[in-house]
Amino acid sequence: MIEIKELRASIGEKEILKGLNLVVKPGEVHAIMGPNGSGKSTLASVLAGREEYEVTGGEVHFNGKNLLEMAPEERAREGLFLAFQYPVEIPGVSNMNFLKAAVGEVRKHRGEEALSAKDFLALVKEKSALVELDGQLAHRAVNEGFSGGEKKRNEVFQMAMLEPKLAILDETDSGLDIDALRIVAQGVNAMRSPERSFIVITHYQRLLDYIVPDVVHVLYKGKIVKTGTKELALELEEKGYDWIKETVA
Amino acid sequence: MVEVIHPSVQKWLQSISGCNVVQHQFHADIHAQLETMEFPHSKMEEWKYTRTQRLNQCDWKLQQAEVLSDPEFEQMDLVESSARNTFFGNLNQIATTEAFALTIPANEVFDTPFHIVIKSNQENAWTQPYLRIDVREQAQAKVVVHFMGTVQGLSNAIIDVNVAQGGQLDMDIIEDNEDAFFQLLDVKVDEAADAKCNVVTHVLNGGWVRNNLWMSLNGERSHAGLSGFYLPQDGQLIDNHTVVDHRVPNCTSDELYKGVLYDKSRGVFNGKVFVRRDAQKTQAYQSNKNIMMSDLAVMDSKPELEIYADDVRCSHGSTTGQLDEEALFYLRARGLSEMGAKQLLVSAYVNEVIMRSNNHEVVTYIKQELSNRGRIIADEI
Amino acid sequence: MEILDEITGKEYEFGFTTNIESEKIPAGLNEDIIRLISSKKNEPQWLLEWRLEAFKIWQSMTEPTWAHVHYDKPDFQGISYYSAPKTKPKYNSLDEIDPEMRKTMDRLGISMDEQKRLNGIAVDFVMDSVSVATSFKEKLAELGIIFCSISEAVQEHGDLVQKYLGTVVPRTDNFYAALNSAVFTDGSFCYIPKGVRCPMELSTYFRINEAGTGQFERTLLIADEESYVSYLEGCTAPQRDENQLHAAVVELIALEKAEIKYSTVQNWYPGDKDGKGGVFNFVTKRGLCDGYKSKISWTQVETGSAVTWKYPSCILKGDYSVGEFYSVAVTNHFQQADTGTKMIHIGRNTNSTIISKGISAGHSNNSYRGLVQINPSAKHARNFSQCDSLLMTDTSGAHTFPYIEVNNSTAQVEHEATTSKIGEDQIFYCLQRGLDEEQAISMIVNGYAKEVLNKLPMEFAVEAQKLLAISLEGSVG
Repeated sequence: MIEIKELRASIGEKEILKGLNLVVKPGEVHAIMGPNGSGKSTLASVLAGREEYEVTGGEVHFNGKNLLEMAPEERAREGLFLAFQYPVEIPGVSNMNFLKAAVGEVRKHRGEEALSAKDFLALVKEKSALVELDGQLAHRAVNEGFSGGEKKRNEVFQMAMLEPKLAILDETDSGLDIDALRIVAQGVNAMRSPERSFIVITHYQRLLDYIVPDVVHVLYKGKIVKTGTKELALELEEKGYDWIKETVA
Repeated sequence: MVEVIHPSVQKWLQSISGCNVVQHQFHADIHAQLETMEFPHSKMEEWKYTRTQRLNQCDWKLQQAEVLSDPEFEQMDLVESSARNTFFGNLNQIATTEAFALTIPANEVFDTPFHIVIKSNQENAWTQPYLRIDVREQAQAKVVVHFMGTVQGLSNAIIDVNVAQGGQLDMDIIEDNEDAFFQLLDVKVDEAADAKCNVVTHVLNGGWVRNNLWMSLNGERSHAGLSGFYLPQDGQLIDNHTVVDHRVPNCTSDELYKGVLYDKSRGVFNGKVFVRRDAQKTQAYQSNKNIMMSDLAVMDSKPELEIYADDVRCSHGSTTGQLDEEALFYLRARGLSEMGAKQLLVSAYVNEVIMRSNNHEVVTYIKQELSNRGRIIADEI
Repeated sequence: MEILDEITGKEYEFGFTTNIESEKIPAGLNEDIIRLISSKKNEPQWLLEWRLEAFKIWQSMTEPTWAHVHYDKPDFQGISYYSAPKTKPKYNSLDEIDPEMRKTMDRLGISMDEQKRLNGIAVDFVMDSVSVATSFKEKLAELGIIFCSISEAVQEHGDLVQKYLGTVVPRTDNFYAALNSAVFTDGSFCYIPKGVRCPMELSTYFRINEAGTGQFERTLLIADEESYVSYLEGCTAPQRDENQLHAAVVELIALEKAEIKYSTVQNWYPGDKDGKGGVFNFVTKRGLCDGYKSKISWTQVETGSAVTWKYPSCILKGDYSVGEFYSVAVTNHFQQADTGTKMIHIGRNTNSTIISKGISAGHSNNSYRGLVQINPSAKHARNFSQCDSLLMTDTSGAHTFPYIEVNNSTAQVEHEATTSKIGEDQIFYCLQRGLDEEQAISMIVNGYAKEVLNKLPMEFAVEAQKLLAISLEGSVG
C-alpha cells in the first residue's frame, strides 16, 4: 500500500523528519504514537502534500507510484485520505456542494460514472448515519460553527463518502469525549476491509482500545524508534514517554 | 463669469447641442455650471484612481436607449432630478434621453418585483436615461434595474429614489455590459423616518464601470443597506463609489463590497460614511474585501469615516489578500483540483454579497449567469 | 473659582517667552534672504545653490488644499526666516550657556545637568533657528557616532550631508518641503556607524521663542549597516496670539539591518480656548529603509499645534524591511489635526504596521490619513492597520481616510477602524471608586492609547502620559 523510505522533511530551517521508514500493507492498521513534537503531524502533512513542508530526502511509494511528485489533489484521487487534526472552517461553502465536487472528482479519476443527484443523496444519508451525523450538518458550510466532535465526525463521514485506499487519522481523538470517540471509532471500524489500510496517529492509547491496530510504532525525534504489537501501546501508556526517551538515549 | 470653457467639456456640450434626440429637460443653470467645470481627471480626489481618457477617445452620438419594463413604468416628459453637481450628473440633467418613473402608492405591498431593462445596442450610442422611484408611506416593493450594453457605447444614467416614511425598497442593480461599453451610474437615495432601502449592485460584466451610490438617511430609525460585487478580468475597470449620509439620530447602515480581481484588471472602492453632528446613536458598518488573483491586477480601496457626532458606533474594514491557503489545501486534499478549489472558494466569497439581495429571483438569476459564464460554481443541491 | 483658574492656567504649561537678546533678520523671502541665511551660516557654495534651486521649485508650487483642515494661509513674506540668540552661538561647554536660556531649558524639563546625564540622554537643543547646545558629544564620538547640529555637520561632515540631504524628501516633494529646503536654519544631524548600537537615547528639543519667526529645522539621521539608534524629539513654543509656522523636514536612512526608532512628543502651542493663535505644524517626515532587513519605527504623541499636517512615512525598499507607525493624536478646543503615515512597499516580504489612536475633544477635528501602497515588486508584502477614534464631545469630529493601493497578488493588507464615544459606564465605574472625572478620563484615555505609549522610551512615556492628561483637562462636555 505505502512504502516510506528514509523520509526527511523540514519546515523553514528546522528538520523534523530525520529518516523515517514505514511499510503498510493492504488491510493493515498501523498506529503511530509519540510524544509532542516528535513529528507525528508532520508525517501526516507531508504525506498529504502540504506545501509548507519541504521534503529533503527519501522516497514514498503509494501503490507503486511516487507519492511525493503528486499534487495534493492527485494524492486524494489516488485514494489517500487525511483526517485533519484541525479541520478548517470554510465559510460560505456548503458541505454538500463541497462533497459533491470532491466525490465527483474522485469517481472521475477512478473511471466511475458520476452519481445522480438521487444516488448522491442516498449515499450521503447512508454514510452520515455511520457517524450519527445530524442530517442538518450536511447543509451547513464546511465545518463552520461545528463543535470539535462534529468536526471529527464530519472528517470520518467524508472518509466514508470518498472510500480511500489509505486513511491517515491525525490525532482524530484529540478533543473528543468518550461518546464521540466511540462514534468516530465505530465509523472507522465499519470501513476496515482487506483492501483498505489505516495509519492512526495518536498521542494516547485510549483510541486504540476502540480501533485495534495490527502494528504500533513509536515516533521520536523524527524517526521510528520502536515497533511492536498493540501491547506496545499499553506498555507505553503504563510507562510513559520518558521510558522511550531513556531507551533511545 | 467664465471666459474659457475647458476644451474637453466643450466637446461634450457640442455633441449634445448638435443632436436632435428628445431632451427631457434643460436647465440653463446646470448648463452654466457645466461650463465652469473640468472634465474629470485623476488629480480630482473623486477620480483619483479611475482613468477617464478613454471616454474622450470615442465620438459618441446621443441616442435613446431601448427600454423594456414589466410591469410597465410610467414615461415622463419633464424631469426634475435632484442636484448632482458632478460633471456627468449635470450632463445627464441637461439632456436626458429618456425618463421613467415608478410610484408605489402608500400602504401597497408588492411581492412581484418590478423589472426595467435599459439596453444600448447601437454602435457608439450615448444614452442618458433617468429613472425615478417613489415608494410612498408604508409601501413595499422590489425593483430590478438591469443595464445592458451589447456594443461599444456609453450609458450615463441617473436614478433618484425616494422612500417615504415606513416604506421599504429592495433594489437590485444589474450591470451586464460588453467590454467595449462604458457605464456611468449615479444613484441617489433619500429615506424618511422608519424607511428601509437595500441596494445590491451586481456587476456581471463591464469594460469600464463607474457607479456612484449616495444614500441619505433623512428620517430617524431608517436603514440603508449597500452591497456589491465585482469580478473584473483582463483590461476591465470597475469602480464603486458610495456615500452613506447619516443626517439624523438612530439610523443604521450596513455596507459590504467584495471583489475578485483577475488578469490585468483594476478595481476601485471608495466608501464614505458621513455622520452629521445631530446623528447621535448612529450605527454604521462598512466593509470592503478583495482577493487578488493576478499579479497584474490593481485594487485601490479607500474606506472613509467622517464623524461629527460622539455617541455613535461606527467601524469599517478593508482587506486585500488571497484565498485562504488552509481552505485551499483542505479542498485539494479531498480531491478537488486547484482550479476547482479556487472556484469553489470564490463562489462562496461572492455568494455572500449576492445573498444580501432580498429578491430570490435575482439571486437565482445572478448565480446562474455567473455559473454559465464559468465565473462561479452554482450550488445545485 | 480657584480650581477653575488652576485648570485653565495649566492649559499650556510651556507658553512662556524667554528674554534673550536675539538677532533676527528682516521679514520676507527672496533670493537675497536665502543668500543672507547661507552666508550667516558660512555655508559652502553647493548648499547655497541647493537652497536657491529649492526656492525656485517652491515658487512654482501652490499650497496644497487636500487635507481636512481649514486655516488662514500664512503670509510667507511676513515671517522672519532667521533668528538666533545673540550671545555666542556655539558653546564650548554646557556651563557657558546663557543663564536665561538655561532657565528656559529647566522650565521645559530639559536639564543639561547631572540629572539628565544620569538618565543617559544626549540632547541637542534648537531654539528658533539655531542649535544652542549638544550634550554628550565626546562620549558619542568615541563610538564614531556623530550627533550635532546640522549647521555644524555642514561644516565638519559636509560629504555626508551632501550625500544624503534631500535623498528621502526631495525638494520637489511638496510645498513645505521645498520651502524648508530653501530656508532651513538648523536642526540635528546624526550618523551611526556600521555595527554600532547607540548606547543612549539621542534627543532634540525644538523651541520657537521669538515672535514673528517661523521654524524650519532639518533633521538628517543615517544609520549605517547593522546599527541601532533611538531618537527622541520634543517641541514647545510660547503662547502667542498670532499663528507661527513650523515647517520641518526629517529624513531617516536605514541601511542593511539597521534599525531607527524615532519618537516625537509634539507639544507646540495649540492656540487658546477660542482657537486664537497657535502653531501651524506642517512637517514632512520620511524614512527610507534602504537595506535588507532594515527597520524604521515612528512613534508620535501629538497634543499640540493649532493645525497639524504630518505623515511620518516609510519607504520599504530593502527586502524584508519593516516599517512601523504608532500614533496618539489628541485635539481639543479648536485644534485641527490631519495626520497619519505612508507605507510604500517596494522590496519583497516587506512588512508594515500602523496603529493610530485619535482622541477628539472640544470643537476640534482629528483625521487619520494614511496610504498603504503595495508595488508590483513587493511580493508577499504585509500590512496591518488599526485606526481607532475616541470622541469626547458632540462638537468634535473624528475622521478616517485610508488609501489602500494593492498592485500584486501576494500582498496581504488589512485595515480596521472604529469610532466610538468614551465609555460613560467606564467613567462612572471610576467615579464610583472615588476618582474624579479628570482622573477617570486621564486613566481611560491612557489605557486606550497604551499600545502606542508603550512604544515610547521610558522617560518620554511618563511625559507623554502627563501631557495627554493636561491636553484633555476640562474636555468632557
